[in-house]
Amino acid sequence: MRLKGFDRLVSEFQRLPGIGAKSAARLAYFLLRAPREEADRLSQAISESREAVRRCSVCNTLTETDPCEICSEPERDSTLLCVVEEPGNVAAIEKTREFRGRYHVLWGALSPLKGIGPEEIDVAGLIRRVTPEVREVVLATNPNVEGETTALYIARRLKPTGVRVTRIAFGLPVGGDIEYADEVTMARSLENRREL
Amino acid sequence: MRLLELTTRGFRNLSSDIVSFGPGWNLVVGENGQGKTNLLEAVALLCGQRSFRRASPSDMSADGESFSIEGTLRRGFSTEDLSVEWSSGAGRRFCRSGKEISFREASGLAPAVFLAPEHRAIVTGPPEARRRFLDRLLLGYRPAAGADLAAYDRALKERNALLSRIRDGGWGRESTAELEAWTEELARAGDAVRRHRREGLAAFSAVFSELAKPAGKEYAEISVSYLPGESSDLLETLEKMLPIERARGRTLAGPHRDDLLWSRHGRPLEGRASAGEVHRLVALAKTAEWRVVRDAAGETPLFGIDDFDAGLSSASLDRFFDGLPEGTTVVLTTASDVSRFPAVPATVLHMSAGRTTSDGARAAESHGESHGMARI
Repeated sequence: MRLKGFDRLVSEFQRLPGIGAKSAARLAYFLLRAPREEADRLSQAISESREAVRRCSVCNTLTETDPCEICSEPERDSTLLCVVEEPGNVAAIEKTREFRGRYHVLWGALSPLKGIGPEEIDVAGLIRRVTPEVREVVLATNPNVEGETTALYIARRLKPTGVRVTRIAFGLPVGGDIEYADEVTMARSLENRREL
Repeated sequence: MRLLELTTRGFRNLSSDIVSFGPGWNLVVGENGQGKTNLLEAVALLCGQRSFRRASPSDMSADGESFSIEGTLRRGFSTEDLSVEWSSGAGRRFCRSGKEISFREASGLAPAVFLAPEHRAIVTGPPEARRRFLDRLLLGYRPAAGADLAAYDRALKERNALLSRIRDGGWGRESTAELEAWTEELARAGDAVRRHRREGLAAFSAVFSELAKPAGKEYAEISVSYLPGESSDLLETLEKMLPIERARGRTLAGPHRDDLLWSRHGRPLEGRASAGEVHRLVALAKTAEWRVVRDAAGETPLFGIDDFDAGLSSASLDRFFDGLPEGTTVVLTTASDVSRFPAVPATVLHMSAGRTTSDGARAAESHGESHGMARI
């Protein structure tokens, strides 16, 4: 017996990141077994958030007000710009309360394998934002091959502007014990050691 | 490291019965086609390695869809449960006591070296076989090198995808800076891979020379070197090759095209060594690998040898057993009758139609005394 509506729901869930066929079917069963209001609440939340949440016209992060809260804060240091891949990265850096500059969200990293080139991520918008007022651009893309290459690419593109370009450091987690660090992290920490 | 037990499900022709290994040497005997090599292959997969027969997971799966291998290991005073599952949908997944771990962690947990007839390719096969041999040694010698090997592989795939797009007419306004960034990242990862490989090879060469001396002058004079030499600058080479690469749509230089050169008195060995010499040389190379991994891991690696006595005379057999390591699980497969090895202190596992039965350990009391580690 084919249930077209059920199959459609499963296939929609499967399009979400990290959801395979089994998880998609489990979610679909859950929603069909739950009281109708529960499913309606989810559907309404999706629909309303799509209406209310948009990209900030300045930094690209997700926001309900445009410009976003961070871009609207006058006391933020406009000479310091931090470049990240995804909006979630902004929240992670904000939690530290250490960074008082502004952000630029690329929405991805270069990956020819996935068909993502410079035009698919917002490098052009970043270059427009690097005005003479900007003193430093901090590249906080992910520490993997795609994130590193994106950082190298941006550094090359920003070179003619003369702005200072820095890359976030990689190494041991604070509060951890050297004895329990994995070999890769330990090797990177030694590579990125600093003079005291 | 000792392998205590192994269970497979849906793996080649093996039954799902528990296989119990003895402490030390284990002789897996049986006619051809019964599953001896399959058992050794299952041990290799559990230890975080690929099939030494270069078989794909779907070829190793009885139904082409999935298989699982579970094992119990003893490391020092602790016992560990390790497992690997493969399915066509989810790929390979390793677990330690039920918790998922990476293949690198599995390799580190169960260090192992395997020697099979296919390893002749280390000397006589294509460069790819020699690179694979060196990279496998590296994972045991310096586990952190695994991240650089994976990064290089990823950067190579990405750069090749870009070059292929450029070849097919996708050269856009941004392509020059994009290609330069990928070239720089590839060169960075490639330099790291070459550095690890040269250092790993230096450690290997020192042990190999030591082992080759007692094997005779013809082996003592053999050396192995990495190509290209130290003076090669990858970034410079890639920049020079760019016009050809853009036309061909792929990367034409880097660690994925490097090679190892076996030579004697500066002359390449390939085509000059007899079949017997190659056989001995590969055994010495694998024994050297075992020792390099042991010294680096601080844990005695398991040693697995497929079809170990093929082509060995009785005199060579005695020498072979004298050279085997102690203090770890050694798995030896043979199609010979067990009566060929009357005095060998080993657990005998009979393999028939994928099912293993054990005779128990033979002469276990002499095991560990008569066969000194000094030789390996």
